[in-house]
Amino acid sequence: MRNTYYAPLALLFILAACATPPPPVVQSTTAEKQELSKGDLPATHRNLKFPEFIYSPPDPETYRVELRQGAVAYLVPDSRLPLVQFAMYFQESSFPVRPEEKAALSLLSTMYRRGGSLQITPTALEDSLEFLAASLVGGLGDFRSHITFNSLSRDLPTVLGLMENVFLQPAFDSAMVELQKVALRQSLLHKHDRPADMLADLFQMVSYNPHPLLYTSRIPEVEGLRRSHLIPLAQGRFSPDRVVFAVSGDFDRDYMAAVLDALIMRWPKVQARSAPPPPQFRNKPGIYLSHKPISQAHIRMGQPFVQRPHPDYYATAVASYILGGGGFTSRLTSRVRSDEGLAYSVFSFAQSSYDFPGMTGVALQTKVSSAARAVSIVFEEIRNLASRGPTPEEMQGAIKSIVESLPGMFDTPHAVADAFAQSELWGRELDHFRKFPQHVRAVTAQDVQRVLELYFRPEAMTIAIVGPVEELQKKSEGVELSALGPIHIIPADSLEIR
Amino acid sequence: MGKWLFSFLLLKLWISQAAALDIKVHHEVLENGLQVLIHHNPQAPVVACRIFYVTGSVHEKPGNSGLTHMVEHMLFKGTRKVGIKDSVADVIYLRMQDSLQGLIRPLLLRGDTAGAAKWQAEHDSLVRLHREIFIKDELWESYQQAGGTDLNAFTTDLMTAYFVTLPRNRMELFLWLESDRMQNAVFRDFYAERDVVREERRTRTDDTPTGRYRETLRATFYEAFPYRIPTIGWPSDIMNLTREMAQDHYRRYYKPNNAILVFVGDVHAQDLMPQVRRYFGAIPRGEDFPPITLREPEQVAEKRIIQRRNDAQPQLDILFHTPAVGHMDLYALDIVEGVLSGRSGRLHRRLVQDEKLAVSVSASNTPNKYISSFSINVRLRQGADPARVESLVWEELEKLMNTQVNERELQKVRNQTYGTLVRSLTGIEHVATMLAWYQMFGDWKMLTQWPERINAVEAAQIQDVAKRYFLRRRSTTGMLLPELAPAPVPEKK
Repeated sequence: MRNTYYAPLALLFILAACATPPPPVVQSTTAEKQELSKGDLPATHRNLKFPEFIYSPPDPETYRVELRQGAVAYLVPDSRLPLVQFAMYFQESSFPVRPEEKAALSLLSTMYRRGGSLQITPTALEDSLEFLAASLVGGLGDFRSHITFNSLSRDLPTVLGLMENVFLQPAFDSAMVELQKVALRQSLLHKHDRPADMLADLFQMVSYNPHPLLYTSRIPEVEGLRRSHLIPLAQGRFSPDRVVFAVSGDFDRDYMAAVLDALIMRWPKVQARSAPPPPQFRNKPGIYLSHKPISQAHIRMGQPFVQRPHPDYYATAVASYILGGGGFTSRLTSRVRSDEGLAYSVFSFAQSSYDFPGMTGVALQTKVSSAARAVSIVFEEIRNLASRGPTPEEMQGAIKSIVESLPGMFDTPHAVADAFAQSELWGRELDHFRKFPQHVRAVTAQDVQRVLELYFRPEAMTIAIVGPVEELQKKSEGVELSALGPIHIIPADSLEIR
Repeated sequence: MGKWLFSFLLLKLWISQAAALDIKVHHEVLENGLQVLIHHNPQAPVVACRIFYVTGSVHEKPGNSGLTHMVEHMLFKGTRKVGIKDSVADVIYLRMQDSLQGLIRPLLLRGDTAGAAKWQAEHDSLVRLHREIFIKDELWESYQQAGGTDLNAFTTDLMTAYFVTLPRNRMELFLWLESDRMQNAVFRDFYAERDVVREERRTRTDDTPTGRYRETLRATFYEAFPYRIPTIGWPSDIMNLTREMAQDHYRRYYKPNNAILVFVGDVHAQDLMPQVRRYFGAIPRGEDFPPITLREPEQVAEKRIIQRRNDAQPQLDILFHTPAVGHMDLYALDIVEGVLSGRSGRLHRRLVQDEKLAVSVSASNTPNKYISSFSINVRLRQGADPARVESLVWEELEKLMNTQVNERELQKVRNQTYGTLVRSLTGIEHVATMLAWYQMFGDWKMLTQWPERINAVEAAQIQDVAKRYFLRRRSTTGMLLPELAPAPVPEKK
């Protein structure tokens, strides 16, 4: 075996002596190939044959319980561990009417949990929860509010009582308001320390028109807040108009259903706020640069996508998987990372929610001098895939991988309860997960090409880049950013939406 | 009234005892030294499959830092059997690239960039030809095609892990690919991947607000022991790693007697073990590599670093060396962590609530092989005096030395220990990692015995460990603070 290497080494010496050597001609011998496949094990993993993996997701009807007042619960009892995980989701919207309200809403969301209740001081509450090794979290969201806790099953009645107490009779303790204000102020002061956070704000700002869901807070607005501002703002939150529970763990199903029924009957009746109209896209493609003196360019590019449910969703998910969502085998990772060594992380995305239209796009980080080249390679790969279409192997691989990720969504009892609860809140049919493989398998290569032309169009991309602005605009590695689109400089201190 | 009611409920719970937790784990050691751990959890028809090699940046030295992590990246590039159309031609191409690199590297180190560029062009054209016989990312694709999820790898100072979660009827694929990866890695396309790792370092460390601060603090804390080496590697070391260095590391550490296989999910040991033996049993045991003999010398003087930058949350860290995992003092130090940490902990009450000098605070007892650490991290309020914060932290440490913790605090930590363990057992991936981690420490059962050991700690022991480990002359203090305001320029008369 060792002698085999002498000939190539001789060739190497010739190679080293010539400026432009001919490509080496190399042949392997049959004996060497056989040497690799001896033994009783399969010579190659390609010879391994597996029975088809047939997976049926859990049936939501098994766990679904209809409670009083129209509430619904997904209860997944599991006594293997002495633990209860509890989530209560409220279909309601909390968004600032005016930009100045954003800071107050952020503080309010935190203060339910941190501010104690009329019956227990904040200090006693923290002490009680930590003593019981329980966690209790709650918050107001753009489209939904939530309360979650987990506790040892022996402590369930106590923690349930604390939860009810805290969220129905919040005290918003003044001293705690002041402490949380400091934390909020400090987080605003340092909100762009990390390039990724700065990029997120820049991308949002250049992608959408100003909208209540996107408003950002200012430090003086935080400093001016008092407990008295929170009290009126808290009215009518955590509305039981539409509540879905996800509860899993060590309990008896009938007992838990009775507990939740009683809880929902005690919950005060208030009308939920409706959601605002969705934000509008700016639709102003171009390159938007914001300065940060770092060694890499943090890049995110995107264009408007759709709101689910939408017939293009599954095809775009498959397209994105092949383009840059499928890890090493995806086109972008293979080219930008593996071949060119330009980025550690490069990926495409097709973000879409049931609440408002999302975006499709690509994100990566690369050293500043490679930024323009990396973007041009991304464009090249998008165009190649859109014009020539995916290979049959890529289609098969993407579909298989997306379909077979399904069991991972149900790998713990709470994952089962939570997946069904969220799905119900989004208005999906109960058989959504059962039909999911059919939808994905129905996607064709032509569908992939069609959605790429629609949702991954380089000329329609809004490109946000955070990095040293002057250097980024210099021609480097044969490419100039300005050749890829009009450049706009966005001052780093202006990244806010009002 | 309500407040009294809660206190009563808590008092009742205080005296209740936690049920003992046990998980069934099949542990077997093959003749070649490979350790196998299997835990059955039938929640979903999938299995978290992991292979851990007991090697990390602890096996590196200045000059080759980042090597273990680089090897981890390279093991996705294929083997003699995977990722290549012609394995013999592959060897030839690799040899030629190595030889060219042997010409390029000295030229670069001498500063002869023009000379290096000439050979680099040759090298690059050879790589392009070589890539024509690649089956790119075949290992990754094979796992994906089999429905693999949670597919990745990581490197730490002590371990390198490769993992995937597979449908329960695809386990043989993992056994085939990983037994091959243990024996046949070839490290093709090394130098493009080296650039990727350099980018990874920029993203994770160089361009983050605290990346270099954390590295410097660690390198200060560990005077000699290789925990001072960053796992990602120093930038200049990364760019000087070679394929030969990676191969040497691989040949030494990627052996069955230095590996732990773990399976957690819908699988039974009696079904899987015959297959494990079939695939891994015949792999020869590797030579024992020299143990790490270097030990951290006793710290003789207080150490201190201060970094100033405005684009980072101001913070203060105080670190102490503690004994290696297995030492009983670590359980008492766990209690100390619990007493100091959390929103009901002493440090939060003092620094955040009462003195209003901090935004958050945490204490962390981190058991580790060879030597452990205990650390306190305070995120300072903007404008807070760090010297004042530091002195208050020391006051709290001194209280631990001078007075016993009360029974309620002790019980709180006991409850939390139990609760944390219960929660940690919910997900198959996490359980798989923890089993390997504790096995690397010596025995996976340490995981479930943890609450029992904590329950056995008495208040006097806590006072004792505080006195022995929290010494100023054995402390390392780090501060990440805003830039100093420029001194006012005196007006000219």
